[in-house]
Amino acid sequence: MSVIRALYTSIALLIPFGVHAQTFPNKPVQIIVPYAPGGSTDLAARVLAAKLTEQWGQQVVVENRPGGNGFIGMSAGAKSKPDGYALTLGTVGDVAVNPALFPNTPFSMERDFTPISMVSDAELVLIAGKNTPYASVQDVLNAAKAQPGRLSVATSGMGTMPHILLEWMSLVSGAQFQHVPYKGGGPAAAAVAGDNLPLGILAASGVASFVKSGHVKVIAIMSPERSKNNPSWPTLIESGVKDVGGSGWSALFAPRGTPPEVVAKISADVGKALKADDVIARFSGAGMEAVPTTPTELATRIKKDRESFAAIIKSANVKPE
Amino acid sequence: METLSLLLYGLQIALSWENLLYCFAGCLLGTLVGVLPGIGPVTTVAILLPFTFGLGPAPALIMLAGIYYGAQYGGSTTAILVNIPGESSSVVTTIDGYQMARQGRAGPALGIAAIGSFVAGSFAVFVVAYFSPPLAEIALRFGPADYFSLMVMGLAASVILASGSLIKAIAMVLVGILLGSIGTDVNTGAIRFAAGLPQLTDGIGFIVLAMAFFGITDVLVNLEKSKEQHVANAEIKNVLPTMEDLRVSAPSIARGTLIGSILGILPGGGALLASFAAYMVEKKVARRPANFGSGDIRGVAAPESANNAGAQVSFIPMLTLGLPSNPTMALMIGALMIQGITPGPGVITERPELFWGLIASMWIGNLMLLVLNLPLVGLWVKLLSVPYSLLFPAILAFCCVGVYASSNEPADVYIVAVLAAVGYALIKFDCEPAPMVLGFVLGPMMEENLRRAMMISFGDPSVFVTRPISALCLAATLLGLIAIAIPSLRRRRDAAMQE
Amino acid sequence: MTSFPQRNNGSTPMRVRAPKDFWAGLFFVLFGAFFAIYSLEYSIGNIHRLGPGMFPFIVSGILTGLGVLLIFKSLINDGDAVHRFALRSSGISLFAVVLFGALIKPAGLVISTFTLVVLSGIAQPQSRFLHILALGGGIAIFCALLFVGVIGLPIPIWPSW
Repeated sequence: MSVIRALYTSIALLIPFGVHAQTFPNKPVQIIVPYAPGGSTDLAARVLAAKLTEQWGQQVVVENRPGGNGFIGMSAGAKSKPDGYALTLGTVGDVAVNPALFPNTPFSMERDFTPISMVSDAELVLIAGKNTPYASVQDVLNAAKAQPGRLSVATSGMGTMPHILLEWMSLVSGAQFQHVPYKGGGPAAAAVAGDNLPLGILAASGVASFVKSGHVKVIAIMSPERSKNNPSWPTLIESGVKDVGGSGWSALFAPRGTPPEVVAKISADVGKALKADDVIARFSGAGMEAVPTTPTELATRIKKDRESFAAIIKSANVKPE
Repeated sequence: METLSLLLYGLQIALSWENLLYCFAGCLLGTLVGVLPGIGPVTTVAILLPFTFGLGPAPALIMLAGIYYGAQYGGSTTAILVNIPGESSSVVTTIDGYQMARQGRAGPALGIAAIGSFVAGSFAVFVVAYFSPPLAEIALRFGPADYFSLMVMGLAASVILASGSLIKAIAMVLVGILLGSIGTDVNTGAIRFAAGLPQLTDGIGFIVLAMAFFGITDVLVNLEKSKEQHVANAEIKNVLPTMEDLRVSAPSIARGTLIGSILGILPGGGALLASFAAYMVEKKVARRPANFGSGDIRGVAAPESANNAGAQVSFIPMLTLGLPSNPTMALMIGALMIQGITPGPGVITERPELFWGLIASMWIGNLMLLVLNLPLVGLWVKLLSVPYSLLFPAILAFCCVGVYASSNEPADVYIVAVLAAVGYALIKFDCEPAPMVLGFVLGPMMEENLRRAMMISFGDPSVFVTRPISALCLAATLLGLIAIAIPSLRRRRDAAMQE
Repeated sequence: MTSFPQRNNGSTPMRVRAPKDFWAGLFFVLFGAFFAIYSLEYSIGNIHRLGPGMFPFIVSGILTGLGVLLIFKSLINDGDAVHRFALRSSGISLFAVVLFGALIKPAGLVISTFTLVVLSGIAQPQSRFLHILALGGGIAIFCALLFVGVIGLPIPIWPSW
């Protein structure tokens, strides 16, 4: 690749700017990821970018803009030129949690973004260490009710989907937990596996190997419905925690003002990419499901999640200090 | 015995022409980006990730691992030649390595770094092969209280990195901790000390700090000097280490390797702690310690061996626990997951071809790097004979591009300029940057784990003495402090009596 | 260097004997005090849940104390004078770095690198201008080929107008 790139670059050096064409895309497209390389959102972006590069014959580059609870990347995406060449891959945390959690989010979903398509969805699970006495959701809730606030639950961080689900579960069941945020799912999973604390709410893919090795056991899946791959995991709802269910999704956005025909084209092409067998396989390897949607479906989903999360955050009085 | 036959099995896999090719490509690319200040393995691995989709898991991981440890080799080159540590674990190398370069001994420094790294890497391969499951279990046992106490020990000992005033060294560690605390607080999501700048909400990156306090500060210091005094003009004595160099360094390499192999299993800070623990040990056991800080070859041999051993051993928590020691490893985990392999306790038995193939390829890769790097030493040494007036604009350019590339954020370049101005002043006041970097890297981990430990124990500080690992670290710290304090107390008392 | 007004009680005159320690101490005091005051903005928390303000407050407090100690020491013990600052060369170099940051997004890699090299080249009075121009062009093209061509960094080479 290097030699070809070097040649390409030498030519690019001689031609300072490209000629505008009628069809999108006629120059490299950028996908801004508000997270550091290596996380599941970044992986989803890179798999998608590789497929779109193939489909469009144009380089689709991932640009990581991590930091500040995803604010930096989202703001950069919001401020990009609305021509379809700078897209943003945001997560449910960026799109539906943070605006409710932080008093002055530097971007607004309505004002700054146009939804394109949902991209990935990851199952989350409630796990317990192997030496804990908990075998069911009821065990966990009873233990937490017997000692309010004395059961520690590890999550992948403040304001992440697992955090919101923990607050939601507390709110509905009346059981109080101690939330212990980690810097990402890996360390949190290892902490539960290493008996540092009894419980965790984490991505199913990140804990799978510890489940297999017997270090941790899965108590429940946090989605509203049972998993296709692991149908034996009960949901919270069927365990008596009414309505509580969610998963970690990510979706692609364009800046507000992007021409509708460009948005429609990107949405259709992303949908096509996400239905490709190799993309589905890569996503599932990383513990995600490829979930293409139309812009309207995505907008509806965001609205629904935002409203319910805002209510939870308000009732549970979650605040960054 | 069984392990040996598995290693041979791994060797067969690693020696397939395909894997050899990817191993070599990875090592070569890794060396290249390691040498370039600022462009680290993270950026490279991230860019190459889509390319690995089409490969099998073994070649993909072999290549990415090659980039990772190749960058370690390349990084020590930059640390020695131009005083720029590309990663936190090569900060220690700059102390004596750069001094050696200034005395015309860049060749021996680079040579011993390559040889030490090779020896350490080869040994670490066996550690990974034989002890992965038990070591992984130990790493898993490390709780927040243990991490906290380990960091306390590390920071208390870090002052030994400085050759000047003790007070200044401690103060610089604290400055580093405070700089490290800028950004988003893991425990509460609060954004601290960002002064309203969105670019600071993720904190100051290590690359930014290293470029500012080492790369650019050093350029500013060198610009003060007249033409004759520059690095370039130091007489080059010999290109490769002499037999005497090797003899002096051999025990240091052995000690560094051992230390790196032990501390490397700790995810987070393992390689950094290893490199400077090795340096500290050398300073303590050496007969003539006066030379450290002004170009002692043992001060290069030991930390370079330690950080390379640490880098390789850190594959244990990565592969068997899914715990990345650094962002590069996080990306490697991602690459594996895309291939449908979740790192974890089962990976050794479920994917033996991957595990043993990787281990064997690491040894081959280290051999390739040695063969690649020793001839390069001559070239690098020649680079130093380029007049400084031509060299320093290039250094500035590479630093700036590297900083920008690591975040795509122009504000990071401005932060570099501000920090470099501060760093320049601090050098003028005889305040050394190395202890500060240690505080910068370890401080945030220390705070995070302290707060987590207190949360999990519900406010009971006794966890720090009831958990054995934690208690051990704290006891060692206390003993160390007493050992430092007693001679100075005695000296003070003697001085007082004389008056 | 800096000296304090002498007290006229006849005993040891108050004078900075170790300027390097004095200035270092002053830096630590200012830096520590800044962070100490700033950390009051954040919750201190309690022993169970330490707030985001607690740890930085303690660290900056100790740092300030060490700074004060250094200043005191600098008034008692003799030490080295601070070597003069190379304001011209360092000022130009740092300005060149800042300019690079300002140019990289709008003007692309080649122009910003060229500017950085040429401007910082002037910092060293010995260099000849033509050499610097050639060096700037060389490094700029080399950077574009290496960073964008070989390594593939997503940095624009030319301005995007």
